[in-house]
Amino acid sequence: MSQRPPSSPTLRLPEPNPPGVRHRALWILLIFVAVAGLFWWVLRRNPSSHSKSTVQMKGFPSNLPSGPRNGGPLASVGRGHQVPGPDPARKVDEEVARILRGDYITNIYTLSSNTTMVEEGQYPPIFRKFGTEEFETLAKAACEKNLTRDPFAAEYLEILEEHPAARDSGRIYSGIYLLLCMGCDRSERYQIQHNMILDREEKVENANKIAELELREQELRSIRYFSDSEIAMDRLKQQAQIDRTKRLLEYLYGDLPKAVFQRLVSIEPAQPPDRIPDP
Amino acid sequence: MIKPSPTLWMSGLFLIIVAVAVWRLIPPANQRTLESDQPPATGPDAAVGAMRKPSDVAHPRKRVTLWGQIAGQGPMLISEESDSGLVTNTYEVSLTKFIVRVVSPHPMDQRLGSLDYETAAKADFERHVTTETNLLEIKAILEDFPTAMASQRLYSGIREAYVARARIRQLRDEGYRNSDRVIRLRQERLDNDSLTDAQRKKLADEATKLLEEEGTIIDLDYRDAGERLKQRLTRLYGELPKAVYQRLMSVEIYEPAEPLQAP
Repeated sequence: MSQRPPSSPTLRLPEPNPPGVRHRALWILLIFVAVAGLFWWVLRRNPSSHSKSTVQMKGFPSNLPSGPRNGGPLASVGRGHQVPGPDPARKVDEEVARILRGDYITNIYTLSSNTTMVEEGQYPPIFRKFGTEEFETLAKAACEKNLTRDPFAAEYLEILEEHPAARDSGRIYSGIYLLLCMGCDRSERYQIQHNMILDREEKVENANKIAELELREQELRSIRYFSDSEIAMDRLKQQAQIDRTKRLLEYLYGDLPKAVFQRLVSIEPAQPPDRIPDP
Repeated sequence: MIKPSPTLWMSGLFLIIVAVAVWRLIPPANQRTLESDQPPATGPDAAVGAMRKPSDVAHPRKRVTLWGQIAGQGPMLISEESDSGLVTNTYEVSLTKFIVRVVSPHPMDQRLGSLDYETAAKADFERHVTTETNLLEIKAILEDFPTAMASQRLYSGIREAYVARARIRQLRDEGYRNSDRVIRLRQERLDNDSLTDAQRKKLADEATKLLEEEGTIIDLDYRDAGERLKQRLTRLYGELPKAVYQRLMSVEIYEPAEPLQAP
């Protein structure tokens, strides 16, 4: 230990600490450094833990599209800078944008390497208001009967209310309306596909009456080929409708986990909703 | 200035290392809870032991499937499994008409939960997954369900969901076919002028029987198929959250499921 110079009587330096006190101070300092280091390390390891839990508790997703509530359906395009998380503009794909504009939508079905079918369709004009407060009010009125009378349809409400993005969107009935339409479209498709099978059976029965073997085989091959293509095409149409509904729901709620959508798809409503009148 | 000795620095560094090591070794509270629920061993026998826990409670062998919201409001199906494995289905098609059908299930059906069943179900999955690709979707759903994963009976669950979904499709088609037959009979009755009154009545009775009896039975079986899946998966895993069940019920299966082959 170094020798201190003699101090002046007016400015007295403190007495040097004994070694035990210094050791204690050092230990405290080291413990403080260790605790601070640990704290810093934990924060670095999981920087978003606090903010994530807050979002979940509040149940308000960061990626909720602001479009429908603030300036019409297309307003969400190009507004990705407003909210953190996934860009809501991504949710409005070309097909959804066309539905919202009231344009025709085109589906191209590739059944095999040499068979492609093109289908064009259009959503009812009311879908130009899809995502607006007006549509929500009309959808609520249209679904009311289904929700009170059909316990299966009521499951839609239950599932969507469990999903924070849907619950907080203020557009829950617009989603239910879409789902009821999708559910009934699925049932109709099942029936159409079954009728195709019945039709094939009838044709096969008639073809079996052809006496000439080669001609009969040719006819049977032809029936099977066209029937299989027809059924495959209808299944693709059914799937396309399901996928389109999912994208429209994503547009409404910003976020729709696959698990939630699967639960919604499992519901088989008894009847379609009342049609929302076109403007 | 205080000049710390190298020993002190070493002690400090040691303290930091120890503190970090202790922090790393202590798992977070939620992880500890999860681990305590998992079976201690990973072998099939250990899994059976772990899985049997929920099944120690006698599993229900009776199902009641209603048409309306409460019993007595409409047709009803009571399905009951006896100790021998025979299933007695009692269909109440109307207030005065009951139809009883006794079904003898496939021998493998009764082995649900056994290692044999799991092995056969896995082989069945591998055989059909290339053509029935949605089996992968069923697998993915059950893989999201920790109890199924921990049970060592994942493929048994996949098989159950596969059979149920295939059966539901088959019953839906049977329903359409039945309706089609009713329409044809009624059409025949209307179109054919040469029929006698007795023949007309016979056609009308046949159409009514198809519609009221067969149609009702098909519809009740259709509703019961989902309930049966729920019951068997609950028996297998001890629990079945509604969300998992609903997700399984969204999967499309296009072809009928073949009976399970014993390994």
